[in-house]
Amino acid sequence: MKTKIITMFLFLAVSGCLQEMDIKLPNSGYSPKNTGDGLVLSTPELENINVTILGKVYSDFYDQNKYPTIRSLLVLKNGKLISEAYFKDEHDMTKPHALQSATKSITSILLGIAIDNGFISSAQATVKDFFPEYVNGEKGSITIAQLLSMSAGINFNDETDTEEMINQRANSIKYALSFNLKFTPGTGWLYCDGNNQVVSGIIAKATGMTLEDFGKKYLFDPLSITNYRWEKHRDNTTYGAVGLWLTPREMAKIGLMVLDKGVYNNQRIVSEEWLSISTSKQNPVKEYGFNWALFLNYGFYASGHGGQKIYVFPQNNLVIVTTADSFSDNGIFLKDIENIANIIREASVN
Amino acid sequence: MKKLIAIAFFCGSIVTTNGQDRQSNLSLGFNFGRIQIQETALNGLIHQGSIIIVNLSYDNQSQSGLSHSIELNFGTGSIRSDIEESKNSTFSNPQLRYSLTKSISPSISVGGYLSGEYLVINFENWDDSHKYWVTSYQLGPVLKLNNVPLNDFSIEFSFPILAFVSRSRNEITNKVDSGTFSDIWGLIHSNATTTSFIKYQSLYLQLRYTLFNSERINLDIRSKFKYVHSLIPGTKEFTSSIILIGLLFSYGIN
Repeated sequence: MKTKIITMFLFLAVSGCLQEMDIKLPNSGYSPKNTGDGLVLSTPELENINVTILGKVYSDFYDQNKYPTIRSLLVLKNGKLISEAYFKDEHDMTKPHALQSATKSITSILLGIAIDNGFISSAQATVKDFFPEYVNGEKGSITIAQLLSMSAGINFNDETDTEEMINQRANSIKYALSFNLKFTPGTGWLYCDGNNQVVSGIIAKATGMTLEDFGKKYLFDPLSITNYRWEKHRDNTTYGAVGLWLTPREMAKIGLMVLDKGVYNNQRIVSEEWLSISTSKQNPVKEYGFNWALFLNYGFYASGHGGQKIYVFPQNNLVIVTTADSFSDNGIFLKDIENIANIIREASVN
Repeated sequence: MKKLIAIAFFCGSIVTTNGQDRQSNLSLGFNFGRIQIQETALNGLIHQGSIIIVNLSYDNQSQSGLSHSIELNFGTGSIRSDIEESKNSTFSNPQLRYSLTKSISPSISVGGYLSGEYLVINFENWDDSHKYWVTSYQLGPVLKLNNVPLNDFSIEFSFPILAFVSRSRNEITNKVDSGTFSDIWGLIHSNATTTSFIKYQSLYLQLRYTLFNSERINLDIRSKFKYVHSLIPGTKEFTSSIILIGLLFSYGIN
């Protein structure tokens, strides 16, 4: 009798086991496809990238048991797309993807374009010049440069205050500026989303266009970037820190334009001077420019939560784009993504 | 094999009840077990871990063989995938279930049930901004077998033929899901749809074996198995299974 009962329970236990499913697509290589979107194609061999090393990186990303959140990897050398793969969904090639904080780097480019076109006098313009109603005292003297370099010192905590700003607050810019200073502006490091919400507000006030509309006219249209969206707050301010969705190929176009010192398809998009400044060290204590993270002396990158990256290595004439599950913890699942970018860089022979 | 035996042991439960002839019972139960969840709206990996369910139930049986049963369950626990090494995902799983059955023979009762169940999951490592959920209100048949296939052994089986279901959204945005009750309440009822067994399969099977009984106390082994498979159009597939053991204290009212 007991045997029958145990058998019954065993049956239940076994039938309770679900079946694992693949979370990655089968390995289909990494040859780029010609989609007519303006990107020029080539091969790793023609552009002098070590195929063995590059193939190993792609193979690891296809592996079901490694890097579970990685979605795409694109490599561009000498202005040409030499490899691309989409590991979870082939539609990722044409589907906009949340850039998370990599959005900040695009906001930085647009700020530079606003200066280039005379809408804003310089990055030394202060918050008080645009929003005197929201600031006074030392906070009023915070410059755009300090906002972009995360040295403004506004004690905005992304862990809690970004959600509060997005979900609860009626006026996002007023809220972002409502916090006390943690240190004297220009003297420290405090990374926060609030800074770029203020920058978005500044661009909107200076140009008469939302950040999204300004971006469409001066950046996206010239780069033939059409398949995007940019979320905005209920107060109609485009999010400056997060909220931009681009396809990986569109991210690559931005990387190419930055690599080419502000030029895309022989058209000047943003000044070389602005890119030079914004991709060099601007924070007094961190390797950080104007919304660009820096590799000391050899490159810089846009970086978004989860693993959304646009790596630019000027000395190697190289751009690398990665996307990953946008809301995942890249500290757990993609903790060595910077190392992987450097492995590809080192595999790139000049 | 050892693993299977361990799981089988886990399937067992100890149930105590006082009295065999009472018409009404009020019971408080504590159940422990194992849960597996596969949420393809997230990534399709199997997350598994422990679940604790506290349940309060009321049963009433008339002399004509008509039986009412109301059961309130609240489950919670933590799960993780094989890939994760830290920070378990957490979930809440409240359920209210009413069943009405009629004895058609000494060993067979049939009837129907009505239930409302919520499963809300925070996959903290995979998605720190959004909640994932399965909300269902179900209507379906119940079959109860007593002394089958052995004396002192009972089986209960049910499944919904109609369900009103709300599932996690397919497309997510940067809007962070708020943790306030009112916002979560709105979220877990959003985009609800009426569906049938074809698209929403929720199978429930309970095996119960009485090891010992007396005038006052029963000692039972009980195993509950629940399997949910959601294929609601416009949402991603969801599957889960739960196996429980439990300790149930019953108080006869009449």
